[in-house]
Order: sequence, then structure tokens, then C-alpha cells
Amino acid sequence: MKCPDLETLSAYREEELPEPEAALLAAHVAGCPRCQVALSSLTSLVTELAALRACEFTADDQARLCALVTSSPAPRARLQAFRRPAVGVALALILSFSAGFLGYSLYQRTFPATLSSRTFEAYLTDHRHYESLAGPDPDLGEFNVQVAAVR
Amino acid sequence: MAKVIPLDEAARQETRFEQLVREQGKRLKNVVTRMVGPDEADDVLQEAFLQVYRGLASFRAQSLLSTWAYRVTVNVCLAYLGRLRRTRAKVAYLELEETSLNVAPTGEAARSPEAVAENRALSEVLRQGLLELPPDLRAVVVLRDIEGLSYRDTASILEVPLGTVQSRLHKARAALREIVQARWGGELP
Repeated sequence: MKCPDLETLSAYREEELPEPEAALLAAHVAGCPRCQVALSSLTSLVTELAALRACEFTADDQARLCALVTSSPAPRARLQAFRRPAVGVALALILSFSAGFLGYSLYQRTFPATLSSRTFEAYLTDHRHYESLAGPDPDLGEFNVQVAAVR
Repeated sequence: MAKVIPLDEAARQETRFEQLVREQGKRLKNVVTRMVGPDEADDVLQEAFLQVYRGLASFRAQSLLSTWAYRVTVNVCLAYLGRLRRTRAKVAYLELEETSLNVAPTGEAARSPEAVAENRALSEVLRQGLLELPPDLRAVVVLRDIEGLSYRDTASILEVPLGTVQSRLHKARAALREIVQARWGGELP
């Protein structure tokens, strides 16, 4: 068996290798001084890294962090419901429908499909006046159709 | 879409936050120091705790408060390192921080002055080597090997699968061992 790479040795050290592979590697390491050194070195590395845990946390550090509370505004709770995807999608749909309905209503108010007789008479009076000045307005669409029907 | 917390609730959050500072402050400071280096550690730690404080009201007990605080802290560190990388700033330092003097060598290494000096030099090489690892590998080493957290907690904090933690850890150890061999002049004892 070839000497394993360091990642495999590290996995072996953590007992993460599946059994057939682990047994083969154990047999190899037992007879391979190079792998024994590498394994021992990995163990030392982990020990040395654990020593880096030592860290000074003074009373000043603690006071400085606790003072953050007074120097920043009170925390606000987010409404958790709005963070769920389904609720977000539902909200987006509701907003889209509302926007669509509002737009359609505004369009209907501006360009009504049919006019009440009183409104129509009022429009017609104005229209005749402006038409006499500027000619037919192509943008009036449905109104022109109804004017033509009256004529 | 937000509601203001009542005064008594705010006071409760404040107490909870202070308790978190007392209980986890030292460990989180260590995480930040190992992730971003001692020069920037204070500022990044402050930012992390600020985010913890702001998020306390929204914290739901789906995980331990300490695990969540680790997650916030690591994310703040990764975001900081990301900004640093984007601005192409170079993290370059190697100075004996005050805290390093408090690292007590253990066992054989503690016996002679030469061994103590050697041990300190090795820890410096490791500190520097750690800061040269890619942030995602560094985070795994800091949480698993330095902080001594379980694989499961490390995976939960980093929000990655267990297998990813294992693979990153072995890659990181292999890289660190190479750094030690190259700069310290040989195999670890």
C-alpha cells in the first residue's frame, strides 16, 4: 500500500475512515516509519492548535461590550411570519393583484368602456367644441365609436 | 414590518446580552482573534456583539444561544474577511500579542527555557499560518481544533454538512502542517 496523503491520515486519526480502509491503513502505518511520524506530527499539530485557545478577556473587554447596549438603539423583533417563504409569496401575490386591480380601475375611470347618458352628453358637448377646433382625437378610442354611433 | 419591544422586554434582552458577554465573551474573542488577527479583533468583536444584541429579540430557541452567538460571530468575521479580500487589502502581521504570553506550554515543552521559547515560536508560526488559510478552512480549524467544538456544532455554526466540515478540517490541517514544516524547520515534536 502506498503512503496515504495527509488528509486521509487526518481522517484516519479522527476514526472517520470506513472499516476496510481503516484496517488496511492501520496495518500500513504500523510498518511505515514515515506515516508514523506524519501521524504523530498531526497529533502534535492538533495539540498545539488547542493551546491557541488561551485568550485574555479582561474586565475592560467585558465592560466595553456591555456598553454596546447603551450606545445602540433597543433591538427590534422582526415578525417571524414575514420571513417564511410561503408567506412572502402570498404577500407578493396579494400586492400584485392589488396593483393590477388599482391600475385597471384607474384605466376604466380614464377610458370607460361605456358612459352613462349624462356623462356622455357632457363629453359630447365638450368633444364637439374641441373637434370643431382641432379635428377628431384618435386617442379617444371608445368615445369616438360612441360619438359615431350617435351621429 | 417590525415592532418595538416593550421596555420590560428590552431590559430582559439587556440582561440576557450581558450574561452572554460574561459567559461567551472570552471564547468569542478568541474566535475573532484567530479568524481576523489581533489587530482588528477588537473592532470585529464589537461588531459581532452588536449584531448579537440586535438579533437577540429575534432569536428563537431552535439552537443553543451560544451556538447561535458563534454563528453570528463567525459570519461577521467571514464578512469582514470578504470585504478585506475585495478591497485587496493585505493582512500582514506577526507580532507578539499580549495574550500570547499567557499561553502556557504543557508537558515536555514546559520544562526548559529553550523548550518554552521553541514552543512559543511554534505557536507564532501556527497563528500566522492560520491567518493564511482560506477563511472557510480557517473557520473550521478555529471552531473544531482551537475551540474544541464537536463536528456537529461546527457544522451547525457554519451551516454546512458534516462531511464538508471533515473534509475542510483535514485540508486545513494538511496545509498547516506544511506551513510548520517550511517555517519552523521540521516535523512537529
